[in-house]
Amino acid sequence: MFIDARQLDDGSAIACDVAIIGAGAFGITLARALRGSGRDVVLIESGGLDFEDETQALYEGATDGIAYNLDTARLRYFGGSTNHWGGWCRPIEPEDFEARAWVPHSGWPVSRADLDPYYPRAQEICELGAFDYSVENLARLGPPLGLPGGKIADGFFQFSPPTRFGERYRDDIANAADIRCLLNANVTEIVAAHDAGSIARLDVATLTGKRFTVTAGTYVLAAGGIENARLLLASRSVAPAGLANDRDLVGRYFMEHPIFGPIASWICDAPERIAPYYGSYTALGDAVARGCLSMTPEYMAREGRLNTIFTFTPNDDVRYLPGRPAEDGPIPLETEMLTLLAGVEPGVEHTGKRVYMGCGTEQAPNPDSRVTLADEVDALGMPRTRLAWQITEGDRESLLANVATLAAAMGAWGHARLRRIVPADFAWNDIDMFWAHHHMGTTRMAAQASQGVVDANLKVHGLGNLFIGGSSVWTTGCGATNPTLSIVAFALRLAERLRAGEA
Amino acid sequence: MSWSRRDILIGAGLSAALGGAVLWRLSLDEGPGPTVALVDRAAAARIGRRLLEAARPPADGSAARQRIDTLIATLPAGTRAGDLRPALADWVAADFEEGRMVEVEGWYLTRTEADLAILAALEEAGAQTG
Repeated sequence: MFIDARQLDDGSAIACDVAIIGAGAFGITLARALRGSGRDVVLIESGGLDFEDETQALYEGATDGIAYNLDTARLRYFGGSTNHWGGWCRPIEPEDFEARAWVPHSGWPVSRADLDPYYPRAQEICELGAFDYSVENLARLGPPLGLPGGKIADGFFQFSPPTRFGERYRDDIANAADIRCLLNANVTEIVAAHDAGSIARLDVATLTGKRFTVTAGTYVLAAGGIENARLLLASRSVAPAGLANDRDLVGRYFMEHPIFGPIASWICDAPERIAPYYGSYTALGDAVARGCLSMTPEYMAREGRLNTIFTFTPNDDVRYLPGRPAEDGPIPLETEMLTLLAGVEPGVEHTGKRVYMGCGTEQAPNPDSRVTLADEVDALGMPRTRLAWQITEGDRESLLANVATLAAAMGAWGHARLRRIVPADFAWNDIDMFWAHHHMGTTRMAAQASQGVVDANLKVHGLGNLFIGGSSVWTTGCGATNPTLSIVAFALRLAERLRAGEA
Repeated sequence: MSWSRRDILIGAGLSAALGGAVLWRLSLDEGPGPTVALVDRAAAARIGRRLLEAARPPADGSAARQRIDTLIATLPAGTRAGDLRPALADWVAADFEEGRMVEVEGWYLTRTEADLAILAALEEAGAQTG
């Protein structure tokens, strides 16, 4: 059922078995998965069922380093940021979980095998097709590019409608006898017991001035990749440095996925070799798919690179007329490059295809890229977020090397030449690009408390009854893989452990 | 920027200095040079001009000529000018596989293609000034 917290009596004390902070992809999935488990669940959502400016303004904050709009990068009402996500889905690749010698702070305490049992159900929840992201599955629609050299891999995304969790699963929450969803309820502090070894209660407030508490046997923080860190850091009545922050790790390692659209164009003399699924949303069985290219694990290991995922869109025809000077087009030297390709014969007119290429790219975990608290407070008296996001020169070099590697693979293929559009000396703050709004790393997962905030089961190190969900637990950026599908898979995994009494 | 007759002659001179290993005497003034392998020499010359204007390695006619002559020296005896295009395709593929690339205005092409483009540009300039 839904309860408007503004209607509660001031000073109320609500008790439950499991308290979940945040009704986004993780929180809603976890709550639904706990239905019928015999556990009384309270799902605490800051917003209402629809967008409200006053609530959204609680996200406003300050930034250092790379400019970032904190209040438009996420949504603060029932459904969370699934209310504006694009629906791009891929699982995290097996190699992303592994420690990579060339990526400091890499290596998750879980593997892909730990998530595989939950991905098929996560696919259903995100309204996707079968959990089969193999190239063989894609090839049913036509041959992938198959660029030579073993450095570039074909793959594809599946597309969610996109599922708006707050709409799609609203009735499930409303009708569940064992779920109480508190709307307009803002957790202002996760209050630790005096020994700081467990959570004693949640302090909650409404924008109308009501204050109340929630107590539970198990607490799950799932408020988003930035807000999770903010709430822990602001929970300092018992632990002055912030909850779970005795090792100064909360808020650090913030990562995003820089998105370039486009980063390159290429000219192809054999457009028929570009399968339609690369350029458009294409039915693949019961899924909607779109092809992409990425770097192979072997290449990344050999060259010491991060991953980049490329998507592309065929554009206009480019005509080559022998003996005639090239016409001025949007891309300099384009026709001239076409004449270098294998399919162009002397003295023969030829039509090539211009293709624009976008990408999302990985940044390495960086402890200096971090969320802290600002001096200013919000309408509830909570310190606002300060984000000092950093992307390093190494991240830039890796991206540029990946683009050059793709150019080489296309050249070796014989049917394309690639032009990088962004300058080689671009600065992250000056370049025309945007962000994926994937907030990762601020409560990172690690086997040891000295290396991370949560363990392999999402339990906060050193706290007996607090778990964290969402991409704040990501140890690495996982290429440029969109996190929602895996967030849902992790929620299902935690639900199974809670149901089994293992957590 | 423009290029001089002197640049062209220096390039040709270096080529001759390679001696008997070179199958053809690839003078820019005599018979077909290696740019005969290009589908469209005028188009390649436009690329070459951009490379020369950028004045970055390998925007050097003599060095370009030397590298091309070295490649040609690997061809079997009796190879004819008309057979050069398949060989060029092999060189280009090998360059890409080995990452021997040159950038011009953001485009990635191989060093061999860049060398030929520069030679085409110098040929064109030579024709215009000669």
